[in-house]
Parts: sequence; structure tokens; C-alpha cells
Amino acid sequence: MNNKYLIPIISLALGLLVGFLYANSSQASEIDSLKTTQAELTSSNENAQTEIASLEAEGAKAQILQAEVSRLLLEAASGGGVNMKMMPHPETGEASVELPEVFSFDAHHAFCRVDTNKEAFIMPTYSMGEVLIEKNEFFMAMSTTSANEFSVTKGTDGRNKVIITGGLDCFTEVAKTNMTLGSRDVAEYAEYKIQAYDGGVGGGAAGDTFEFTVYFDPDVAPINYAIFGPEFTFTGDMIDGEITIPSAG
Amino acid sequence: MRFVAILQCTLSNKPSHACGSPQAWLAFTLILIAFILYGCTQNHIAEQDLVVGDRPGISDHATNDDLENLQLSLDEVLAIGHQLFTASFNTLDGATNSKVRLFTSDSQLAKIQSRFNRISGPDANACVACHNLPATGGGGDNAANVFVRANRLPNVNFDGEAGDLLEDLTLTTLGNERGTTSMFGSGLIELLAREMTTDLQAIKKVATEKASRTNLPTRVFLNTKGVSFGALTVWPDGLIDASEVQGVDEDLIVKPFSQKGVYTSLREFTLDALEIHHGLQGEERVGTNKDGDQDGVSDELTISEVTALTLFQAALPPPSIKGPESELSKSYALRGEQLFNEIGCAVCHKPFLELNSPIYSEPNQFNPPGTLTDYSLSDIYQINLYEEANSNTVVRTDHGTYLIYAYTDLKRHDMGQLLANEQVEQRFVESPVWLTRRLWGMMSEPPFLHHGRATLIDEAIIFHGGEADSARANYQNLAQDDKDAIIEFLRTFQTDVN
Repeated sequence: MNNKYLIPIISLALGLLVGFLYANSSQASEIDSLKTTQAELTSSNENAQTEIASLEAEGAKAQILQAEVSRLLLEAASGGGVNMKMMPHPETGEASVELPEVFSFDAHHAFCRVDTNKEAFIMPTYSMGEVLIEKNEFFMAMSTTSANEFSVTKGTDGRNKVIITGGLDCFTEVAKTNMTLGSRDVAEYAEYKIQAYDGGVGGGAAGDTFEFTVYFDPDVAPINYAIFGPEFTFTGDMIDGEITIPSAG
Repeated sequence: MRFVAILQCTLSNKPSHACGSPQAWLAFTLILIAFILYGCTQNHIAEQDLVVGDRPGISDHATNDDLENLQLSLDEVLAIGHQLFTASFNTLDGATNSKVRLFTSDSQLAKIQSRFNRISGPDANACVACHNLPATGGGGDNAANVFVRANRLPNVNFDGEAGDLLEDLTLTTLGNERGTTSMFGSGLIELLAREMTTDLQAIKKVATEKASRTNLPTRVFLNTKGVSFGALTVWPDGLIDASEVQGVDEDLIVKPFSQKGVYTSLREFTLDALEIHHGLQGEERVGTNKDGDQDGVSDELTISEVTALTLFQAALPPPSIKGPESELSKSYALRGEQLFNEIGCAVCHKPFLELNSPIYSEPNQFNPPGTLTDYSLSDIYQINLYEEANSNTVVRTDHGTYLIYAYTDLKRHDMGQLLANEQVEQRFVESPVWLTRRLWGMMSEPPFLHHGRATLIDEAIIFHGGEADSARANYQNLAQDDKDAIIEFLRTFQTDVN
């Protein structure tokens, strides 16, 4: 082969070889560097994964703690007292007959009851018209049997508030001149929703209120439905007692 | 059969001898005379059945058999619903407040007073008397405002006599004055609420199962259709902590009707409205053949009639978004829509909610006690509300769902102290808390806000507070031209009366 071509070819080959070796060694070091980085990242990733798992576990614990705090707030909520309801007088029609409703509640049980009526009054019923109730002829008791849902929150006015829902037994006995409706011994089932506000120490005067709303199904509680209708709220002016609901923050 | 044969023979113009013997002809003639006499008798009876003089608003009641035996077409049922919605109920329908009798015995004055009471009710004789802007089924002017929950008092008249029950009550403490809202598009709204409720109940069910399985309290987020209703924690013993639930009751049933969001369905709302505003009790509320309010009329509205009235309202078409009146207002409206989203209005007034199925049927399975939840008609009377809509606010997507542009999230929000004027709580919803108002059709039923105290859109916006405080502040910080753009956008929400 003519030297005229051989030398440039050899030079080119040598150049390529040198270039390749240089590039190769450079890439090798880069690969080494990347491998190191990869190892570091893998390690960091593992640490991060461990940390995430740890944080998730902590988060789960925090959630459980938060749930327990909320349930403790419910456990700490309780109250009892008397709501005074004024019923229509049979002669004047004015709401002047006192019908005191005694109530009590905590996380596990609630009731409200009217033991009797000291005076005759007129009771507007849902599907039996207005019924004249003679003196000492009215009895009503709502006694919870289960709690399904609750919430302990702060109302928009700043008062602490608890809501409890569930099922209850209702015993209502209404006596008329020549008949007795319902029973104080045989219960009808209904669902309820209690809402109580804590306005501070001092009971009703401080802003405490207690409402006991009962939802009567005509098929399940026909007597109470006929008296009270599909939804009835037992409440009144809280003249005695105290409601304590811890702050929900 | 012989009679029919003779008749056929005679009608075919055959000779008389070919049609039978003289005896047969005699029998035929006698039978014909008997038919004519019977027909005359029936006409006479029909004339006797015609009512003269005073008559009820609804003379012919649809019986439950009419619907259950499919004797009426859907169109006929909707026509009955329309008739009920527009009828003027009177004493003969049972439209009275029997509680008044309680206080003044059976005097003539008591009877007169029991017909109407602007505050305690009955406060209207027809649904359409209030729901009429811009057409039957719509909203109402301030003249048609009602006093919500004042019906618990027998006969408020501030005269110091019996009937007010508690004489220390004032106009603001006896009830809550509110405007009449439109029923247009309400079937679609109920369907959205039903689907949202189904989603929320499913989330609760999964959480309950997980809590039971893991024996740990389980917290889940309550998201449906892009709306967050907060979170729920379920305990392994099944007790549910709803302290973090937002904008919906603890039962997780989305209630899209009434301005407080306390009615689950059109049916529940309708039954209460009939009772409170007209003094009419539905058969499903008090029982069959019972005169629950002791006004001398039983079965004031049958189950079928309440179904017809409910279906009529559900089928009222949704309002439209109207094209701007000029190029100028169009450019403003387009910019206004963008600003509406940017300043935060669309957070609660979500432009659309996605509906899976537009098929409306009765009843709503989530109805409360006293309102039907189970009824064999659900498979019979179904309305495709998309096909009936004919509105640009209902858009079918490529994947078969429907975008309902009602501009609401069907969630309750704290709207601040300026809108916390009510003193009588309705179904546990606090005074400043309101269901996000549907904006579609708003321009067709002014004035604005729950009590109609805003006569301008600008006033309605600046009364917003609470959770809407930042959006309200953003609006107030806009240049007047930008405020006008938002107002021009809102002015496109119209109900097409055609």
C-alpha cells in the first residue's frame, strides 16, 4: 500500500483509538460516578421509604388518637335538666299549662319524660285532631336503646354542640274521657336525633339547650305517629339543670 | 249471538226474509228499545251527578288504582299533576287550619279565621299562587314570602287573643320569612342528590366494614361529584363520629330542597307544603279514609295524586343560559364567566355536577318516615329528564353521562352574620348556614337571597360572608367594569317560559 495513504489511515486509526480510549475511560468514570449516585439514591430512597412508612404509621396513630380524642369529647359530654313546655289551656286557649319534660343524656343513654300533667290541657295531635287531656292523664317517655352517630363541634355562635342519633323506645299514654291511647309499659320503636348546646355554666340562663327530635314511622310506631306525626321535637325553655360539652377546639 | 247476526245481516243490506223470522225481528226490536231506554236512563243519572253550586278545587280525585293498574298514561298523570299545582283549594277540599277551632270552639268567626292566616298558614290556596315567576312552577316575588316554621303556632294575629299561643312572640321570633324558590329543573336536582347520597352511603359502608375488619377506627373522606363533604370516622363497634362532616347531616343524605337544604325529595317537600300552606293532608301521611285534621274531609290527597304532583314538578324543564342581548353584553358576559371562576364564586356555585342517569321515578328511597320510600310504580312511570329538558344547561357527554349546569354544589355553607337573621332553627341547620343556591334561572325570579332583601345582583353578592367571605372581598376589590362583567354573566341565567 502506498505510504501516501497508509500514514493518514494509521494516524486516523490511532486517533480514533486514543479518542475511544479517552472517551471510554471518561464514560467509565461517569458510569462509576452514576453508580455511586445510584447507590446513594437507592439508600436515600430506602431511608425515605422507611421514613414514609414511619410517618404513615405515625399518621395512622395520630388519626386514631384524633378519633379517640373525639370519642373522649363525646364521653365527656353529658347533661340533664327540665325543659318547660307550655300547653294550651282548654278554656282560654292560651299556652298557660305547664308541662315539664325531664331529660338526661350522656354518651350511652338519653331519655326525656313527662310523668304527668298537673292541669288539663289540649293537645293538638297529628291525625286525631285536638285532644282534651284531663289532669294527671298524660305520660310520655322516650328512652334510647342505641347510638349510631355522634358529632362534637363548635356551633357558628361559638357554643359547644353535641349531636347524637340512634334508636329509642317510646312509651306514650294519653287518656281521654272514655278511652286510653298508647301504653306506659309497651314500647314502640323510633329513631331520634339529640342536639344539645353548652352555653357555659349556668344552665338555660347561660344558653344551654336540649332538643330531642324523634322520627316516627307509621308502620313501626302507629300510636306515637298518630299523636306526634312523622317528626316531633321535644324541647322547651330549660328551667333547670346543666349541660356540659367539652370544647371541640 | 242471534241479535248480533240479525244486526250484521241488516247492516249488509240483505233482504229482510234473508235475515231471519218475524219473531226474531220482534225480539231484535224489543232489545233495541231496551237499549235506547237504558241509554236515556244513564244520561239522566249522569246529569244528576253533575255538581252545581260550590265545588272543591279538585272534583275528580285520581284513585290509587288509576296509577297502580296503569290506567293512566304518563301524560295523563302529568296533566293531573298540573291540575293539582294550579287548582285553587277550598273548604270542600279540606283546605283549612283545624287548630283554630281549638281556641274559639265552633263559632262562625273561628270557621272564617281557619281559612287563611298569612303567618301560621294556610297561607295560600294554590301552589301556583306563589310559584309563578316567570311561569307556573317558578319562584315568587316578595309578596309571596312565607314564614317558615310559624305553622307550629295555631293562628298568629297579634290581637292579644287566643291563637297566638305565646303572646311575647314577634314577627321575627315566630318564624323565618323566606322567598319562594323555583321548581324548574328540580327533578334533575333530586337525581343528583340521590346519586351523591348513594356515593356517600357507599363510602360509609366501606369504612364500616374496614373498621370492623381491622378493629381500628377508620377515617374516610366524603367526596362525591367533585364536592367534599369532609370526613367520617367509623369505630369498630359501629359508632360513627360525624364531627368532621361538612355541609350535610350526619345521616349523609344530601337534601337538595328548601333553602336550608332539609328536604330529601320533591315528594317530602310537596307533602309538607300541602299541609303547611294549604292545610291538606296526604293519604300517605294520615292513612286511608282518615280525616286527620278533623275538618270533615278525608283522603284530601291520595297517594296517586301526590305522585302526580311530584312527577309534574320533577318534569318541569331546567332553566337555560340565555344568549347575551348584544355584542357588548356578550363580551362582558364571557369575561364575567372567567372572573366568576377566578375570584372564587365557582368554589360553591360549581358550574355543573355530573349526573349518571337522567331517569326520574318515584319514590326516593332515602325519604324519611311518613313519606313513601317504596312504591310499585317506580318501574312504570319513569321520565327521561334529558329528553324532556330541551335546555342548554343539560349536556350529554361522550361517555353517556350528563352535565347539569345548575351552578350549585348541593352542600350547606356558613354564609356569615349578614345572612344569619333567622331565629327559629329549622331541622338543626344553624342560622347562618344555607344550601348553595342554584343560580340557573335566577334572573327570572327576582328578588334575590333567601328573604328577597337583595333587589340587585350586586347587593346579593356583597351580602355573602362566612365561607364566601374571600370571594365576596375579591368581588368588591374588582374594578366597576369587572363587577359589571360578572353581573352581565349572571344575567344570562334565565328560565325559558316557552
